[in-house]
Amino acid sequence: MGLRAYVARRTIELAISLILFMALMFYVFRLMPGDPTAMLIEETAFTSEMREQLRRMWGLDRPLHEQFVIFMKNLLRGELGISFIYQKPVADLIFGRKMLNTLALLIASHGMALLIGMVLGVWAAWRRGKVLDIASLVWALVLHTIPVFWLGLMFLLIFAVHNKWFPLSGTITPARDYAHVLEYMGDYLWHLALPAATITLIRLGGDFLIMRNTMVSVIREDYVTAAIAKGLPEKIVVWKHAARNAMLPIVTLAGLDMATVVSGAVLTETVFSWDGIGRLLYEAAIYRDYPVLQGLFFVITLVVLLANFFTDLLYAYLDPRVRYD
Amino acid sequence: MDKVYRSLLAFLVLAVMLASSMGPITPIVKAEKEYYKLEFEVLVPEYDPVRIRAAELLSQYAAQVGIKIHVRPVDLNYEITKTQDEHDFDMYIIGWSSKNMPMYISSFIKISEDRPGGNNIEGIRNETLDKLAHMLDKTVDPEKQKEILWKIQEILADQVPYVGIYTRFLTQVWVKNLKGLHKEYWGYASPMTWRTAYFEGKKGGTFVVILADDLRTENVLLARSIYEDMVWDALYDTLVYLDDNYSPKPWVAYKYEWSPDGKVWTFYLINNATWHDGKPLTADDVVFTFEYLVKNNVPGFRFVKYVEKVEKVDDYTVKLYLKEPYAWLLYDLADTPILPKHLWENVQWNVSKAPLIGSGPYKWSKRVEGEYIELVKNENYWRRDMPKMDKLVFRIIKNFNAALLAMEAGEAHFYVYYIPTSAVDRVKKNPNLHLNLERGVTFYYLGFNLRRPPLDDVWLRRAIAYLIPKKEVVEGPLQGLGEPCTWYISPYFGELSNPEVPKKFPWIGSIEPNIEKAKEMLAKSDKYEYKDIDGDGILEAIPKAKPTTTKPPATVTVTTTETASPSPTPTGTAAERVVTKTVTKTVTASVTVTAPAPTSPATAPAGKGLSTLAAIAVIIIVIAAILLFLRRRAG
Amino acid sequence: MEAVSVKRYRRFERVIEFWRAYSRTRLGLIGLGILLFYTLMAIFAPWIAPYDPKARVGGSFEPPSAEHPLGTDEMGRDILSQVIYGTRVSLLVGVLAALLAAAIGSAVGMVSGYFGGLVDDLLMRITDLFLVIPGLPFIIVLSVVLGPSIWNIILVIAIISWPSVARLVRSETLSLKERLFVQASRVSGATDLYIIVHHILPNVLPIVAASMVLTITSAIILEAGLSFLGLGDPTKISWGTMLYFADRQGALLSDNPYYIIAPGIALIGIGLAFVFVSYALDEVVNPRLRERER
Repeated sequence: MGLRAYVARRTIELAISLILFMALMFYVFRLMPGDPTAMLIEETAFTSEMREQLRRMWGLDRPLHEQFVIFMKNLLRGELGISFIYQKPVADLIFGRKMLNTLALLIASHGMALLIGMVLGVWAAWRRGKVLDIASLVWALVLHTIPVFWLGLMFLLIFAVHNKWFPLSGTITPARDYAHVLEYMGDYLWHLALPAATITLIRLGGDFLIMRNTMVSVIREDYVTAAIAKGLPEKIVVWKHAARNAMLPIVTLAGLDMATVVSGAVLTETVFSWDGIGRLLYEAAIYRDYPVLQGLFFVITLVVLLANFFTDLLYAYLDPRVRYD
Repeated sequence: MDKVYRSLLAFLVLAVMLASSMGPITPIVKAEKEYYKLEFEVLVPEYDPVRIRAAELLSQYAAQVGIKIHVRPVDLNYEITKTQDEHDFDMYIIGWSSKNMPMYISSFIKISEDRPGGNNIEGIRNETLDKLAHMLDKTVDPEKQKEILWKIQEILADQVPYVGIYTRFLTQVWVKNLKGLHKEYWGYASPMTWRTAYFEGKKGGTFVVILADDLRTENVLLARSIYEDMVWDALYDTLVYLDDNYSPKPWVAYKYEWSPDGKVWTFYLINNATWHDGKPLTADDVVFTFEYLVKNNVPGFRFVKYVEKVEKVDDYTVKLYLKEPYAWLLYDLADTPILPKHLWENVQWNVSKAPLIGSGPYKWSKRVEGEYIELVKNENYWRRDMPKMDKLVFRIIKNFNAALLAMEAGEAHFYVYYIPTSAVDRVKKNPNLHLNLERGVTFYYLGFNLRRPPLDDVWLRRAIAYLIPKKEVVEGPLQGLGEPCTWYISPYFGELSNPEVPKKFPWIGSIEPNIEKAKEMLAKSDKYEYKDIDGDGILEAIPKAKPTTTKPPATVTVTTTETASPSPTPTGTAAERVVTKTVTKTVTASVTVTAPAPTSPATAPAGKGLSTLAAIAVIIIVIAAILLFLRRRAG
Repeated sequence: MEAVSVKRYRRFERVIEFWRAYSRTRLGLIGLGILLFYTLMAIFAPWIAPYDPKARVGGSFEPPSAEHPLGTDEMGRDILSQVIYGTRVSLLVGVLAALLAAAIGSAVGMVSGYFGGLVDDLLMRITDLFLVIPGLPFIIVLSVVLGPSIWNIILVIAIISWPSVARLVRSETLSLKERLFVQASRVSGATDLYIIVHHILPNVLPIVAASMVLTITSAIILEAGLSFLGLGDPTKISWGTMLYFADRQGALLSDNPYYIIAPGIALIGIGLAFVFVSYALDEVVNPRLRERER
């Protein structure tokens, strides 16, 4: 089968998976006990008539299968609906400030973790068996077991409460007038520091271990031995030749991790009151804001499936041994 | 093929096992029994440790009398659906401010509200209460209102369909030099505060208020939370306002009067009010506002359904005609923003961005979503002496730790709503901050499902009321940030609260658990005999033969023509409901969660859950099959 | 009779052999020691804990003192006692969730690998579907669907963790299926069920057990995370619910930061113990791995 046919088939498959998955999630969301109008009661003195009225407005009075048909029709037309709580198109809600905040947080932290993890991994593999290698191995295991939200709380305790070096919450200082864009950026980065550091530290363990283990096996490959035998300085061989080859698996994994990037970091965002996608998702679940939940899961699943698709495609393209099947 | 068939079978068994473990435990339905076990489940919102602890303590004391109470923490949304919509519960604890507010109490006791989604969650079917509730809604005269309300409170206290546990004080913090604050029912975060607050010894300045949540929409008609109300109160004016004693006072309507039958209301408007865009505010705008709300039947404005027509008398006089008298019109109007006709005429009521031009003391300046909202002084406000500040900034800080640090650092001046106990001492120690503990209207209560025997027995309810450790909850989990609740309408409403209630009805007045009294109550019951038949330490309720004459309990001293019946006598549909519900409580042996029998099979949640689960299983299989098919064909 | 006892003896011998290999790894022994400590703490909690963890025994947010080594929480309850009792829920959730995931995973994996063909395709598609589902978002929604209770948390964690076990078991089953003793058994007329139970299952068990240990760690951390978000059972004391209430009740600004620190340390300790054990198990079960590493 040719590449084109392969791509076409995979695209159809992807579309069908996505639609079926959304159908599945539609029912899972409705399975949540409760009702989107119920939460309005504690806050305002809503009468039952008012709730009925809202239900009609949101189309919740129709039978489930009718709601499903409407939802699917809208989805096929590319419409994600209007949020119950925010009265705003779901697409605007997701692809607004919240997505930017989440992307900033996760790209910064994942990028840092990747960078530091790779450098440390290569270095540890090169000096494997030494005390520092063992120490960093144990440390990586410890990092693996620290709950991310607890680490966040610790950072807050140390760097925001006891020493007021960093802010406790939010993405910028409220109601501050910025003289310059750079000043705004600085403020944003200052708020970003603690949450990003938290995720970086947690991810560092995994990235480090993967890089170290790949590196250990790459170093033993013949061409590395040969290069060293040829008289090239060991340092150059390790950092230039071996490290570059060892990067492939970790970068692939990072690509496949897109899911966590778009679904946000609920726990970290909760601890730092970071106004991102993860928080939005959690609140939507608590408030039973079905359109927002559907929209978020649609976007997340789409990104995951696309990431898988492109990874496969890249592999198929790069490696002539892979058949398109 | 045999192998395929067999393994498919194995998979199906697995799927069914998974599905059945996911579904709620289905009750074992037994035939009608001649007795009921005193074993109940109390639903509590999962997020509040105080309410959970209160339920646990109640459970401990109830066990000493032989009543088993299982505490079941649930998601708030679930609790409301279970109680208000499905009536599928034994008892529940919830905080509902409006439940003890005079203007709302009638909706909780009307028989017509005893329906799915209705406010009469407990299923109170008391003819006297129902009549009083209807009468209350139509009574405009404050004296008569009070008389009716007092009677309602006495009957409620006598019948105990629900019983208050505690009230939580509103904890509000502001900087010490902030003066001129006024209170409404959310304490000092009132519309009048924005108009009159000032910094001592300073002219103007920026007033920074912390909001615990952002605006969800930029449309005043869609406001659903107190945070949104706070912002809109500064931007919009109302015809009347509520003063510190919670009574309506003239505002944009400098004078108002009503016809003797309470159906025609006349409002006289001030003539120097203007909109933020410079246009004058006239009767046209007020007429438009009323008509707009009525035409669109906007949720959140209760008086709308009473309005018959609105009439403009002259440029500054408006007449409002009601279909029937409505007692709480002024209170509703105190919450109703006047909308500018020239901007709203062609705007749909439920858009997420509506015109932001009001006539209030502050003008809209700018907003950064999720961060802050900035309002600036309206130099042309009709009250020349208001507002006192130059700028009003609402900072959005969802995290109360951060809010408190901002207050300590002097970055904000006013914080209302929720402060954790840990912070109270911290604030008290701070020389610059003032901590105000306000009684407010927050009300946490225990409600019974009167439709479910033996909870239809007033003596059992009184016994349980005797067992609530109100004082212990307030002193323990609540850390003294509240008070035990011994009333049905908060003393916050002054005269409207009946002070006799705790004295006349000792089970309501008691704030410490009283095991002896509780046992005494059970012994007095004329409906059931309470004794432990099977020797498991839990009492059983054995129905007694129905007495031919229902004699009122000695404690009832209500002076209505019909005395309150000892228990809500089921009539009509209620009787049918009792008859059809032959299923009694059953308890699954191993798990502590008891599954109450569903009221009717059609609305049974278990059925819905299982069918949806089945649907999901089918969908999963279909997805897999289709993908498989595609792959096969391609390969 | 004779045959049975020989079989039993062999099994016993294998256990001894396994233990010898295991006890050579120092990390494994440390891990096991910590685990033993936690288990004893969980079992004897009522005797070890100085106070009833739910009773009010002091003022709110008291800093550590002689009476309360870790201070008190917002309701004046002893934190040390809560941490000790919390071990019970965390261990229970971790172990049961991992067991359930292992059971579902191995059942699916064995059926899929053994029968192959259509069944395999179908089951693996479903497994893939579960692997694609975005993890934490799905867990949040599922927890809301099921409601707050530790049994539901166990179920949710199991639902999210079984696919990886299934994949592992499937690939192992595929290779076992071709082995001589399975072939022989089939030729001699043994039913599929018999072969799966008597030949495949005993041979995949070590791998399942090794992977289970890691699942326990992630299950315990996941439980803490869910409880921290407020999706746990607030009537049961677990380290996660402690952190949830600590955060909500403002422990950060209080006089007693140990309300936050203590449950976290307990979590890390138990997590490390399981990681160490799993590391040691890996060395014992997969000697090949060790060779490759060095």
